[in-house]
Amino acid sequence: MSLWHRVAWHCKNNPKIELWIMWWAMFCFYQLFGIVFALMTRVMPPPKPWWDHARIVQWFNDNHYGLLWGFGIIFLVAGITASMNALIAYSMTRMSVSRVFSYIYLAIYSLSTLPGMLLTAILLTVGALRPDRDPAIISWIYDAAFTGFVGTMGVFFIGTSVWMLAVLLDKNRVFPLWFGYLNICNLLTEIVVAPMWIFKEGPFAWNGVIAFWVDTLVFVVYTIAFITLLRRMIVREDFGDGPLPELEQRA
Amino acid sequence: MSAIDKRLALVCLLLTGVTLLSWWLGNSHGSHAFALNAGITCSVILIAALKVRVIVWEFMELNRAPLRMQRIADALLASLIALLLTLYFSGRAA
Amino acid sequence: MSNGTALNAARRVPGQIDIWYFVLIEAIIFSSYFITYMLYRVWESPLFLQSQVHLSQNFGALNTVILLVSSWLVAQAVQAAREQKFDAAQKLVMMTMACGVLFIISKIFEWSSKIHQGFEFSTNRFFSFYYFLTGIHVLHVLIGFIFLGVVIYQLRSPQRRSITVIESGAIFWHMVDFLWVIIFALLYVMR
Repeated sequence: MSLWHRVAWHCKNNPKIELWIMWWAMFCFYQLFGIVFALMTRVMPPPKPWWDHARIVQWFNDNHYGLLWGFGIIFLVAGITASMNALIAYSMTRMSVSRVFSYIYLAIYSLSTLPGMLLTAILLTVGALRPDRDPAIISWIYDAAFTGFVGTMGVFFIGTSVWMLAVLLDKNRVFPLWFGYLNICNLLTEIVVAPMWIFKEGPFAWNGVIAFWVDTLVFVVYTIAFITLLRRMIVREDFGDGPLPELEQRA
Repeated sequence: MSAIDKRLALVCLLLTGVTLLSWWLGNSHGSHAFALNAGITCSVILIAALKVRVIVWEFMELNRAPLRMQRIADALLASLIALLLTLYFSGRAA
Repeated sequence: MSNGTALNAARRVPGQIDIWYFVLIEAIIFSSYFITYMLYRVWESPLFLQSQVHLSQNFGALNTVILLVSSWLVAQAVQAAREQKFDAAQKLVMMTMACGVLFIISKIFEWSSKIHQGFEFSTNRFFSFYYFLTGIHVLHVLIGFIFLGVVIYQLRSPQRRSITVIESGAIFWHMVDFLWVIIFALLYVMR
C-alpha cells in the first residue's frame, strides 16, 4: 500500500486519528518554531541588552527580511498551538484526577501564546516595518520585545504546576512519575528568569548563561520529553477509565 | 540503638565535625585577610565533595543501589569538583 | 559478567527510580549554576573577595549544621518506618520540618541584616550570586516541605504506608542538604 493509501485508510478507520493529527500538528509546529525563532528572526539566542540605539537599529536592518518573513509565518500558523494545548488537556481527562485540571490548563494556556511569542512577533515586526523610524522608538520596541519574550513566565509557571499536580496525583499512570518531577524542574527555571528585568549584562540578563541558556536547555529537554510521552500515551490509549495499559514489550 | 542507628549518628557527627573544620578554615585568618588562598579553597571544596558523597552514600542509601547508579553519581561529583578546581586554578594562573 | 550480575542482584534502588532522575537533573542544573559562579569569581576575584568579607561565616556554618541534623532525622525516620514504628517516624519527620523552618528563619534573618547593611540583589555581581543561589535553594527547601508533608500523610494511615514513597521524600530532602553543602563552600568559605 502506498503512503497516500495508508494515510487515507487511517483517516477512515483509526479511532485515534484525531489524536494523531493533533500530535503531528504539535510536532510540526515546534520544528517550525525552531526554524523561525533561531534561524530566520534570530530571536533565539537573543541579542545583547546593553546595545545603544545605533547598534539596535543595525540589528533590525541586518535582520529585516528574516523578521518580516519569519514572523509572517508565525502569524499564519500560531493557531496550531491549540492542538498542543488540546492534546495535553486531553491527557488530563484520561487521568484519574478531576477534569477541572484540564479546564484550568486550557484556560491558562489559551493566554500563553501572547507573552510566549505573539507579543514579541508583533513588536519586532512593527520595528522592522519602518527602518527609518526614530532610533529611540526602535530601541523601545527592542527592549519591550525581548523583556516580553524572555521574562514573562508567570503563565507558564502556573500552567506547568497544574499539569505537574495532575501527573503526580494520577492513579492511571498516564505519564510516568519522573515526568511529574520534570515539571518541577521546568517550573523552577521559569522563576529563574525573573532577574532579567534588573540586569542588562552578566549571567542574569536576558541573554545570560543562567537566565537564558540553562533555562532554554531545560525547556528543550522538557519539550522533547512531553512530545515523546504524548506519543506514547496515544499508542497506549484504550479509551477506558482505569490505568492506562503499558506499552507492549516488543519481542 | 541498633547498628544502623549508630551508623547514622556517626555519619552525622562526622559531617558536622568536618563542617566545623571548614568554618574554622574560613574564620581562622581573620576578616582582614580575605585574599586568594589556594590552600583554603582546595581543602574546602574537597571537604564539601566528601560531605556530598557521604550524604549520598549513607543517607540516600546509594551504597545499596545498583552499581551503575553509583558510578554515575561518582562520575558527576568528580566532574563537578574537577571543573570547579580547574577553573579556579586556571583563573589564578592567568 | 555473571559475577557482576550476582553482585547487582542484592542491590535495589532506594525509593523510586523517578526521584533519582529528578535528583540527577537538579544536580546537573545546580552544577551549571556553580560553574557559572566559579567562572565569574575567577574573572572578578577582587570584587568577590571584598564582598565575601561581609558574609557571616557563623550563619553559613550554622545553616549547614541545621540541615545536616535534619538529614540525620529524616534518615532515622525512614529506618523507623521500615521497623513499623510509624508514630516515631512521624515525630522524626516533624522534627526534620522544624529544622527546615529554623533554616528558613535564619536565612530571612541573614538576608535582612545584609539588606540593612546595604547589600542587595543588584549591589554587585557577588551579591547577585549570593541572593540567587541562596534564594533558589530556599525555594527547594519549601518544595521539600511538600515532599515531607506527603511522607507524613503516608505515615498517618495504615492503607497508605508505601515505603518507596517515604524513602523518595527523604531522598529529596537529602538533596536539599547536599546542595547547601556545596553552596556553603563556594559562597562563604572558599578564597
